[in-house]
Amino acid sequence: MSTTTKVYERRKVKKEGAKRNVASESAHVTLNVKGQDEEEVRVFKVRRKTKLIKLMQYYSDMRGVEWNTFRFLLDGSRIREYHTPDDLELKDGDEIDAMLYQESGFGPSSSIIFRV
Amino acid sequence: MASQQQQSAIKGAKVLMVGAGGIGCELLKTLALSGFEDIHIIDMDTIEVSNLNRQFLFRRSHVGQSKAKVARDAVLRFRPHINISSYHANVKNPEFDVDFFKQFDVVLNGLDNLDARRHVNRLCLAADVPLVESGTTGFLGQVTVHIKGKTECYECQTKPAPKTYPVCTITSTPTKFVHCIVWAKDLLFAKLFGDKNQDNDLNVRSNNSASSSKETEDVFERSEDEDIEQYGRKIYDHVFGSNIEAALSNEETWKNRKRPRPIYSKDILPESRSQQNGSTQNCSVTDGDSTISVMPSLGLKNPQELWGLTQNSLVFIEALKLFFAKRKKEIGHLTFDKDDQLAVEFVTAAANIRAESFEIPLHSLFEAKGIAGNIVHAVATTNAIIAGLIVIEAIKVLKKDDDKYRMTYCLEHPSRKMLLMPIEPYEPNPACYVCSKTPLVLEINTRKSKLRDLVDRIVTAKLGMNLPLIMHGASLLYEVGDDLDDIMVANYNANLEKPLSELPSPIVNGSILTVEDLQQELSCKINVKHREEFDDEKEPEGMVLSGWTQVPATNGESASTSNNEKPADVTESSSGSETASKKRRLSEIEPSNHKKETENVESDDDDIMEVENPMIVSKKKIRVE
Repeated sequence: MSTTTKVYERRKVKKEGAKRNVASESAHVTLNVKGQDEEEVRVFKVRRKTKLIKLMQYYSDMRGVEWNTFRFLLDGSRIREYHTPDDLELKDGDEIDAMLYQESGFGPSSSIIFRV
Repeated sequence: MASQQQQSAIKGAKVLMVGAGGIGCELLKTLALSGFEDIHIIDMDTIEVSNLNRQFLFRRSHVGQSKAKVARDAVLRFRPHINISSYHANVKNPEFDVDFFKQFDVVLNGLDNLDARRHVNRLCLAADVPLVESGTTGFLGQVTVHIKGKTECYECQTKPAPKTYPVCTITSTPTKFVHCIVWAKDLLFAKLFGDKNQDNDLNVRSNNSASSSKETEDVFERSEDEDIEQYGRKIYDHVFGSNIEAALSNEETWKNRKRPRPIYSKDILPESRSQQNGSTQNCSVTDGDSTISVMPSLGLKNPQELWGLTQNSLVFIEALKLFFAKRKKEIGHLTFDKDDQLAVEFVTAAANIRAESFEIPLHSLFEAKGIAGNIVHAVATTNAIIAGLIVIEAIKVLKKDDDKYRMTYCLEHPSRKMLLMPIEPYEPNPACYVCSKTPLVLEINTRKSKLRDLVDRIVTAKLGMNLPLIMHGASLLYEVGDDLDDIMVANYNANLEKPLSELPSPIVNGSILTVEDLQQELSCKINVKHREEFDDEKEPEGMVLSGWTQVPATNGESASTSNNEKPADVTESSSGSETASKKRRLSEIEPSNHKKETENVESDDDDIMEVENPMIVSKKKIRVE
C-alpha cells in the first residue's frame, strides 16, 4: 500500500471516529504546526472559516521569514492558500507540517533595498 | 540489487549533472556505483580548502583546480571503464543551449543558487528533458522531480526570496540584532572603508536641515594628520551619539516604540588607549591582511564569548585604528568579507554598540560572523542522503514510472517517526509564466522609473533572464548579446536612462511588453499599470510584479489575475483510486465563498490565536500582523 493510501485510510478512520463523538461546534479549531527544522510543535486556534493563508502568514512572521518560505502540508498533501479548516475538515489536534525549501550554499542572505 | 529492467535503463542512460560540490560529489559517486556509464558534469568553480570536509572526492593538493575535472578523475579511479565528461564552465554559457540539453535522458541538479536553477529549468523545459532538482542546508533538504507537462516546473511555485529590509528599519528603527548587523556591514563599514562614490543612507534623518547634513558628510572625511584615535572617537560619537539624538528629536517615530539611548565614547572609554600604553604597534599583526586582528591585544581570546559595551567599544576603536594604521591602501575599496578577521571584529563591535543603544540583545563574534556572512554549516550526511534520493528518482524517470515520482523532504526532527517525507509531485501551475505562458502584471510609476530599473529589478532579478530582449509592440527597446553593433548598443544604453514614458515607444498605463530570452526559449508578456505611489516599507523597490500565484491579495492590494471563480464544490470522493482522489480533493477545493473582499475586511482579532499550552486554552488575543 503506498504511503498516500495509508495516510488516506488513517484519516478516514480518524474522521469516522470523530463523527461518532459529539462534534464540538465551536467556531475555532486547534491546529498543531510542526516546522521541518524544529522539534517543538506550535499550537494555534484558528477560526474554521478563515483562509489558512492567514495561519501561514502568521506562522512565517513568527519564524521571521517571508510567508512563502514554508510549504504547508497536511498528511503529505499541499494546503492551498484559500483552503479553510472547514474545507479540509480539520479537527482539533490535526498536525500541519511546515516544510522549508533549501537552496544550498549559504543561508538566506539579507540586503537593504533602496528606494528608487 | 537493481532489477534487470532497472539495470538496462541505467546502463544506456546519458545523464547531465550540474554542480560538482557538496551534493555533486556524493551524486557522482552514487551514480557511478549504481551502474551509470555515461555522465557529464558542469561546474564553474575551483576547489577551496573549506570544501574538503565534505566534498570528499577532493584533497588538499587539488585546491585551486576545477571541481568538475577532479571529481571526474577521482571517480574514474574506482570505475575506470565508465564515461565521464567534465566541463569547467558556467552552465549559463551559450554553449549549453537547447541542443546540448536535448542529448540527455535526465538532468540532475546539485546547485547552490536560484539563478542557475531557474536557467537550467527553462532549458530543460525547452529541450523537454526531465529535471531532478535538489538542495540542502544543514540538516534539511529536498529532492523534486520536474517533467514538462506532467508535473509543476521548478518555477511554478515561487521560491523564497532573500530577506530584504526596508531602509528605515536599518537606519532608524532596528528591532532585531540582524538589523544592527546589516547597518554595521552595509552602511557603516561601507561608508568608512568602501567606495566613497556609493550612495549611502547612513545619515538619513527625518528632520533635516541642509547645514547639518553637510556637516555630517565632513565627519567621515579624515584629514591626513588627524590622529587616528581622535578620528575613531569622532566617528563613534557621531553614529552612536549625535545621530541617535537627532533621530530622537523626531517625536512621531518614537510614539509607539522604545527610544534608543545615545552613547558617547567619553562615558564608556574615558582614557584614550594610546595614552595608556603606547601606540598601535602592540596590536598583533600576522602575515596577510585578512589575519590582522585586535582581539589578542585586548585579551579577547574566545570568539564565542559575549563582550560588554566597554569591550565592544574598545574593539570598535582599535579595529578602526588598525585599518588606518596597517591597511590604509585598501580603504576606499573594501567590501565586507566574512573571512576578513578585522572586518568581522569591527562589524561585530559596531552592531553590538548599536544593539545596546536600542536594547537589543548583544551577540558574540562567532554569532555575529554567522549572521553577517549568512553562514549555515553544511552537513555531509544530508548531502549523501539527498544524493541517494536523486538517484532513486532518476531511475524512476528513466523507467518512466510516472506514478512513482516523489518530491521528498529531508527532516531534522522525525515527524510521525519518519525523517524522510515523500510527497506526490504537483500538477503544473496554470498561472506559471515559465511553463504556462501566463501574462504578468507590473505596477510601476511610468513617469519616474527608468528602463534600467525595469531591466535590473524585474527582467534580470525577478524573471531570471540571462540575455533578455525587451519589445514594445514592434519596437525593440533593449537587448543583450554578442552580435550587436555599436550604434545599437549606444541606442540601448540611451534607452536605459530614460523614464518608461519617455522611451521612443513610450510605455504607459495599459502598455503590453514582451520580454524574451532566446537561450532559455522563454517569452513573457507583461501588462503595465501605472501607479503613482509605492509604500516605502512594503514595496521598497517602487514596483510590483504579480500574476503567477493564486494568493488572495493581502493588505487590500489588487488581487492576482488567476483566481478561479467556480462555486464551492466540496464533495466526498469515496470511489476510484484513493491516492488520486485524495490529491485531487485538496487541489480542487475552491474558495468556500465568493465574498473574498469582505472576508479580508472583517478580519478579526480572533482569526488566529497562538496557544501557549495545548492544555490551557489562552484567552489572550494576538493580533494577526
